[in-house]
Amino acid sequence: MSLYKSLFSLLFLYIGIELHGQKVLTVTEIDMDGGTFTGQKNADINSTITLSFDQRELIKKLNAHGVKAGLPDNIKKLLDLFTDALARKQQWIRALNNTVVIYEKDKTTNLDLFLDEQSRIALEILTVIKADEKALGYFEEIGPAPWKQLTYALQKRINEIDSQIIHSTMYQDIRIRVGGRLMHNGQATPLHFEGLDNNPSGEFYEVERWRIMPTKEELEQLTALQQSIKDDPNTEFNLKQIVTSRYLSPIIDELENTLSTAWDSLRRDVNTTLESLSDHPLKTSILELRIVGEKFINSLPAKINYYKNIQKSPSFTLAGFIQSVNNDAKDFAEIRMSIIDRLKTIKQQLPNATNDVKIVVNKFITKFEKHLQLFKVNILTPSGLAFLTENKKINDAAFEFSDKVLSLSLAQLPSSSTSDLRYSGYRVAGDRVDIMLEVKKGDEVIIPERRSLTLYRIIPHIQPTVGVIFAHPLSQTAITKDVQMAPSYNLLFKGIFGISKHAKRRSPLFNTLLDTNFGVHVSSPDFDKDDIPELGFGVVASTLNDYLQFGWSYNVFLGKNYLFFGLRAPLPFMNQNVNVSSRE
Amino acid sequence: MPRSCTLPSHPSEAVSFFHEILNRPDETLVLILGSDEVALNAREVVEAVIAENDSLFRYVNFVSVENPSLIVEELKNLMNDGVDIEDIDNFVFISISPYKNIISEAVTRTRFQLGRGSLTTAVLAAISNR
Repeated sequence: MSLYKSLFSLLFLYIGIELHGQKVLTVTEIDMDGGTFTGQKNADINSTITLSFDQRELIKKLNAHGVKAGLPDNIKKLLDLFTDALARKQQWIRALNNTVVIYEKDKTTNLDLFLDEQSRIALEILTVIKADEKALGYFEEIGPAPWKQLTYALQKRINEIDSQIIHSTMYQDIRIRVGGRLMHNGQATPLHFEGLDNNPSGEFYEVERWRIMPTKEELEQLTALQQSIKDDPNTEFNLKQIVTSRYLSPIIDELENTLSTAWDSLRRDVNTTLESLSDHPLKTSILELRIVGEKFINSLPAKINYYKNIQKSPSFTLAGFIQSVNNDAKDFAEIRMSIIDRLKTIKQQLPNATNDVKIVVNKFITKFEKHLQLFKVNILTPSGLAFLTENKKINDAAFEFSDKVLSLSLAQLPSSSTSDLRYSGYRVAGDRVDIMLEVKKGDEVIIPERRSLTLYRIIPHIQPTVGVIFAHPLSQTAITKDVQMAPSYNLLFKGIFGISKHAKRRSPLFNTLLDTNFGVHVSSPDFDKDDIPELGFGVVASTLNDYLQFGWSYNVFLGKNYLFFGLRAPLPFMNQNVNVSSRE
Repeated sequence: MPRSCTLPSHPSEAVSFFHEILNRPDETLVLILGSDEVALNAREVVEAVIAENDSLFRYVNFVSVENPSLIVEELKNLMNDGVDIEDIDNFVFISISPYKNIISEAVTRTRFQLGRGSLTTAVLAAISNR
């Protein structure tokens, strides 16, 4: 079945391996409902993006590059003392509490221990606060509340010393630039961040959350569908026919070919790499990767046969068919996660390998990822499966700063800055926000950091979809076969039930294939076959990025119940008639 | 809970009471000196500290000494960590370490008015004086 083959390709499509380690730049999303999310892969399309900068981390990294503040030693010692004390505060609190508890268990025996412990802790704290006059002054400014006083005084002194550091002349040729862009259809629109650039604010555009009425394009699509169905001599099908109908089997064949050739090539690469690795631990990880891949490939023929042989099978039911679709989609998702995990493991093990091994494995990974891109490109034929595209990163232009991005000194860098995506112009789901930070010493870039966020419609909203359904009346009508094709319009309630907003921010799959939603349904079947469409209202459930829909409906004109399953526009066989609207 | 008490106003009773509380080996003493507005304010601050019941103050005894002259001589007899007892009229707090009863820190009225957290410093100084 075509969907499965395409899904298989998607297992490999999205390989995002995140590097761990402290960062200077943190990206936080605040959505329209007030939710806050930090360090995620995806964000809601109408959110506000906040960039925050960790000054201490920046100074640490500059020091690591040999650029040091040149502060007097005693000041550096104070900074260490205060930072250390702040970290030890909880320990002191716990130790004092414990010491009292122990004393109170047996006052006679434990008196000396109590006095010693208490004294030790008090002396440590006193040493810190009396380390310099300012620290003591700040300590006594508030309270009496020992721990609040300690935090207040230490934090204030640390901030003062940090400020001394960033104004140090040793950093005078350090320059920082931070910028962002919105990628839509391969075109970049610069984002405006207060204090970081002079980019103008874009046009205000808020992706509508609660649209119920169809747009002009959607009405045109519905009209075109209606006409197309009217002109089509075959609008009635038996269910089994649909799967191997003229609409879907060319796609199955094409995928089968692509899959076997690509997998063969991939398998050869895996084997070559394994041979050259002898006994390296990485070999185990790559072997595991091959096992996962092969297990899946070997399970495919059975699945494909099921869908191909549906016509002959006496036990075919619509419910069983939909169940298979869902189960197989879940399998795909699991295998994809498994492959991503193994690739992650391989990349993590790489730094410990010798240079020779690193070269071989890096080559393998590059080839592997290239194969997976090829899967994607070959499978997405114009005849049908463009809707399964992930965001194409390959063709985007390199991100470069324009002269509107400010070049800031260490002292000029704000602690944070914000951009409201609603002022970044027209956007659709799947667009991407790129953020880049660059720290230069003179002409040399010494600290680069990049982030990307893919935009989806995550927070609760209504998603209208136009498509065709295959309606199955539950009582006698003029229809002679199982189902009749009819155009439909659904309003799906998204982001309300189902997959969590956290999951949707971590992975694109949860925004697309695995996203299941419910809604209300309108369609126009023609059960009495008089060429005048009737009106049906019902409820619908959708999955696989809304491409597969099913539900129950009621034909108002004829008073008949019907079940249906449906496909969403754009449709393989409809492209020539219908305006393909941008992916939503 | 931290404790609080008041030194009796009668001279001989005051002295014997003072010695009694000095004899408690686990207690840090903080004397609140005088009866002026600053001292009144100090007593209010101490009440709030007692209510908070932080573990640092658990074994502190806050002693209200309205007439410091009653125990000046006794104070001069104690071990001293650099506090000038002659200056007692300027002090609102004197902290005394547990067990060895070392006079550890004195907080002047001015210092207290500039920052109430000076009470914590005095307590820390006394506790650390082992």
